[in-house]
Parts: sequence; structure tokens; C-alpha cells
Amino acid sequence: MELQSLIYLVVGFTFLVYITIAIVTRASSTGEFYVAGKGIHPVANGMATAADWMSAASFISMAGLIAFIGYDASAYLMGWTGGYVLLALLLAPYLRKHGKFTVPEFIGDRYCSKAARIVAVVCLIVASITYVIGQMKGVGVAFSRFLEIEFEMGVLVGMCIVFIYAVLGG
Amino acid sequence: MKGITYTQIAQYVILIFAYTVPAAFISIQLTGNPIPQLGLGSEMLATTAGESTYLLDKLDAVLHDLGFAAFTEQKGSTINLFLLTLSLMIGTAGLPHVIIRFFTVPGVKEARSSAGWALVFIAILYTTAPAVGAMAIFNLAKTVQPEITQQAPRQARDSAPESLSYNERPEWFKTWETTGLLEFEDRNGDGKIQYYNDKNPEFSQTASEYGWQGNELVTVDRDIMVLANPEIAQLPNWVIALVAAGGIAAALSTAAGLLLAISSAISHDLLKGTFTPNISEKTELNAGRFAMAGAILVAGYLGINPPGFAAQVVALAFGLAASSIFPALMMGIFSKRINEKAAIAGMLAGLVSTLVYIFIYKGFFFIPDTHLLANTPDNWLLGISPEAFGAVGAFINFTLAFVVARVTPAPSQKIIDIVNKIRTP
Amino acid sequence: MALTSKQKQTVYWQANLKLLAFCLSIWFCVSFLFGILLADWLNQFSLAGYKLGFWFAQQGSIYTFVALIFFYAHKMNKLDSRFQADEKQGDTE
Repeated sequence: MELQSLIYLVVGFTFLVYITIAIVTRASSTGEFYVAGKGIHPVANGMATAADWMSAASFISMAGLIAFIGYDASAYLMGWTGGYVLLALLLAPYLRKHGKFTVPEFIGDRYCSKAARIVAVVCLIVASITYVIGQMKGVGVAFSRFLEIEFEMGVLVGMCIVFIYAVLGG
Repeated sequence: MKGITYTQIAQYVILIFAYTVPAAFISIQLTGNPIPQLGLGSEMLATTAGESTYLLDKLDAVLHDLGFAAFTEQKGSTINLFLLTLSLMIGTAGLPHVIIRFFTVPGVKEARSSAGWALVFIAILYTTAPAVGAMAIFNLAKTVQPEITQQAPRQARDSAPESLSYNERPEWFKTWETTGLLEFEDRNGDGKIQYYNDKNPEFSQTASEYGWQGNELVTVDRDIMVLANPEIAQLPNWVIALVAAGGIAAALSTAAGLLLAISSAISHDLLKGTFTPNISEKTELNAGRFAMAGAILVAGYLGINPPGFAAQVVALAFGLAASSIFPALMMGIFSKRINEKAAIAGMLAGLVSTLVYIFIYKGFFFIPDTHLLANTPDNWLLGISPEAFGAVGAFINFTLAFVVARVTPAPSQKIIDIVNKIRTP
Repeated sequence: MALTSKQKQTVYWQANLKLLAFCLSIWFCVSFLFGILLADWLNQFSLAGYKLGFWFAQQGSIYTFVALIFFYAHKMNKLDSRFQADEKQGDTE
């Protein structure tokens, strides 16, 4: 089969899988939405976290960096895995113990301060938007190859699809 | 939550197959070992030079013969490498969309092991990545400069090694040319593609003897390597299609997750939590969507002219999280002395110092051409790149917080009780 | 068992901090020490086709991180259950 049509077929199939799972599990999950994650095995949760974590930067960009800068790209390899040690040892158990649902909420509670919470929200937004800019570069590369169009058009198409995906996912 | 979790598990499975299957194929092609982690440390199959060599040694030699620095050799400064690693590590622990996952496990015990399992699944990809990168650059060199990869290492030669003719370029080359992320310019008019390091003064003599007048692969966007890799290695079409699906899955899932984090930060924490607690659920939802649309427009606009490669831009985000959020969380748990004022002062100082340092080199608000200094190692403060400055920002954050905490009153008993409570299992 | 609940908590926290210090020093060694600062020196040794410093930076450190998290989780779970057993004993006494 022609390469381009095979790519459409495989990408289309994976989307079908995601949508099917989302629909099948939605019915059974509405009731337990707020006891989020109860009954999810740590292995399953770990796998889902890994999918959430491995972004365009890990999947598309990192090996490219390694290809062109070799040993110096070790910073990315060690940095993005060693961080989990800090997370597991220094933060995760305590944040879970506190039992709130967002990071600014924890900071607001711990420092007994609305101002601290707002500052944390600002920090969070600045970091997240920068992160999304990096993702959009990756999205643009993926879509420009996928649709065989220019990179700039790829970013535009990607923007629309990410938006739809996020609205549906929320 | 359960629904999303299962979708993400499916995404992980597709993503990891898409990454490891082509890596295994290429590893077999080059070394005969199907496990890329081992293949990278193995001897190469059938080198024409007769004696067998280790893949990494061969790669170092090939890159050397093209004027590049060796693959396994350190190029940047040690301080920068050290701080970049540290910055990415504490950034990982400070990024809210990761932390949030550990709020949803059943208990403290599971929070600890969940992080371990997450790292197991992440490590599968991350330990494969060096093999993917090394083999991709080797295959690229092999395609464009076939003769260089066939000769014995560091062999002296008098005639120019044969390069790939532009008219005979493979299909993948043409596809990537249409995206504008791969560009060829025939500088010496011989109709062939010369790929080498034209910025290496020691190599320029050799290059001019070969009749090469500059690197002719003028653009090779680093971010295309993983997607182009299976095509370069001439793998079957279904593998190429699988990689495309994996790339799109990876890009979409994280981008969507981040947008949700931004929208909930604005609607839940900022509007509902502090400014207008009385808004209806519907208004909260609409505000969230509005924030999401705004964020994606900004990100898309800046993403067309990004301040670096995807991984580098993401590294900036980690630096920002490292300098602001991680210290506030950590001090909140491990110190009873840090109070409100100290935490706020620390977060602001960390965020602002890092942001300003980044903007000086990358342009204010990442708008192209607004930077004050060129982004080159000579201009960097103590040789610290903008990506690595997050670690310094975190240090500023910690220091300032401790100083402020010393001169302001200790936190109330209520806060000490909260800290004691989170420390007890 | 004359310890008060508060003292037990302090003992537990001290034990936790000690374990943390141990784990974090290993974390530091495999990445920053072996992978970066001593990498050049370690590169004179090799592990199959890998130079050792390079191997630590791109492979070894990651494997160690995984093991480290599980080691910490295992130790802490033991510490937790001991602490909770103590607490219960304290209640009944």
C-alpha cells in the first residue's frame, strides 16, 4: 500500500481506539468521577502518567537532540528521569497526604494565604504556556509530515485539533 | 478520571510501540541485536573495513571525518551541563500537570510506588532514545556521505569522498523538503549533497581540498529526526506509519493535558478560589474554555517561530517551574519556619529572575528579534544557558525565602499543625 | 514504650530524613558525579562498547533512579507500618 494512505489508516485507527475507550468507560465512570483514581492500580496509574508525561519533546525532539549533540543531551535524559526521584521522595507522598487537588490549593493552605495561592497560579500559568509553545513546535512537525504541508500550516492545523481534543477531553 | 486513565494507557501502548519497534529494527540492521539499549553498546555488523568495531566508536570516527565533534565527547561547559540537569530535575518535580497525577492515587503508599511505576514506563523510552539518536545520525551520514561511513576510521584520503547526488535523493528527503524543515542548497554546483561541519576551522582545509564550499544541508531541523528515522533506515511502510501515529499521540495528549491545567488554574484557582467565589459552574466552565482558547492562540503564534527546538523550549518551561513552584512546595513540607511572606518573596524572585534571564537571550515574551544579547555561550553569565538558569532561579528562591523568614515572625500554630499532619503517614 | 505520640512522630520523621539523605546521595552520585563531573575520568573504562561515563549519563543513571524509587517506597512502607503499629499500641496502653 502507498505510504501516505497507510499513515492515514494507522493514525485514523489509533484515534478510533482512543474514542472507543473514552465512550465505553465514560458510562461506567460518571458516578466515580470524584473519587478519582480509586481502584486504579499503581501500575496502570504509572502507565497513564507516563503517557501524560511523554510529550512531543520526549518523543519527537529528544532523540533528535541526542543525534546532533550526543553526550551533551544527557542533561535531558538524566533531568527528565531523575526528577521523578525528587518527586517520589520529596513531594508526592506529602501532597497526597494533604489531599487537595491542585498545586496552588496546597500552597494556599500551607502558607495560609490567598496571595501565595495567586502567585502560585501565576507561576503555573507562565511555566505551562511556555511548555505548550514547545509542544506546538512538535505538533507542527508531526502534522506537517502527516499532511505533507508546510510547517507553519502544520502548526495551524495542530492548534485546531489540540483545541478540539482538549475541549472534548475536559 | 478512570475513562481518561484508560485512554492514556492506550496512548502509552501506541506511543511505546511506535518508539521501540523502529529502534529494534534499526538496531538489528546495524548490530544484529534487537534490544536497542544493548545494540548501542555492541559491535557493528559487516563493516567493509574488515575488522569489526563498536557502533559508538564507529560513529565517533564518522562524525570526526565530517568535521563534527565526537558523539560521546562533551561539547558544552561542565557547569552548564550540571545546572541544566539539575534544573530539569527540579522542574519535573515542580510541574503541576505531573504532580496532579499523584493527588488521584488511593493513598500515600500508592503515591510512592506510582511514581516508581511511572518512571519504569518512562525509562523504557528514555533508555531507547540514545540508541535512536545515535543510529539516526549514523544512518543520515550513511545516506548522504556513503563513502565516509564505509572507510576505515580516520583514514587519510586524497580525493573527495562520494556524496549523495541530489537527483537520486530518496523519497523521504522530498517529503521533508515540502515541510520546509529540510533544505538543500547546492553551494559548489556539483549537484551532490555535502553534509559536514563548515564551522570547524580545523576541517576547512580538508573541505576545500575536497572542493566542498559549505555544508549543503542548510536546514536539518533536529525535531524531524525521530519521524524521519524509519524512512532513512528504509524500514517497512507500516513501521513509518506507526511512528507518525505515535508522534501525533504524544504531541496531542500532553498539549491537551497542559491546556486543561491552565484552564483549571484560571477558572478554579483564580476565579472561583479567590476573586469571584460566587460564579456559577457554567461560568466557571466557560471561563476555562476561554482561557484555553487564549492559551492556544498565544502558544500557536509563538510556536510558529519557536525560541528553540521543542525539547529546548520545554526545558525553559521546566526552568520556570523549577525556580518558582518546587522550592515553595519543598519548603512547605520540610521547613516549619517558612511563612507566607517568605514563600511569596521566594516564588516571585525565582520566577522573575529566571524569566528575565530567558527573555534577555530569547526575546521578550519570546517575540522574535526582541532579545538584548545574542544567545551564544560567550554572552551567557558564567556560561549558563537560558535553559539551565532554572537551577540558579531556584537557589535565589530558597535563599531569599530563608532570609525573609528570619526577619519576619514565625508561622502560626495552625500552620505547624498542617505541616505535622502531612508528615505523619 | 514510654514515648508520647509526639516523640514517636519525631522518631519517625528523623528516620525518614535519614533514609532520604541516603537515597538522595545515591541519586547525586549516579547522575551528577558519575554522569557529569567524573564522566571524563570514567570514560577510560568501558562497558562493552559504551565508555563508562557516557553509559552512566545515558543509561546507568536512569536504571538506578527506577531502583531507588522502589527501594525508598519499600523501606518507607515498612517504616510506616511500624509507626502505625506503635501508634495503635500507644492507644490501647
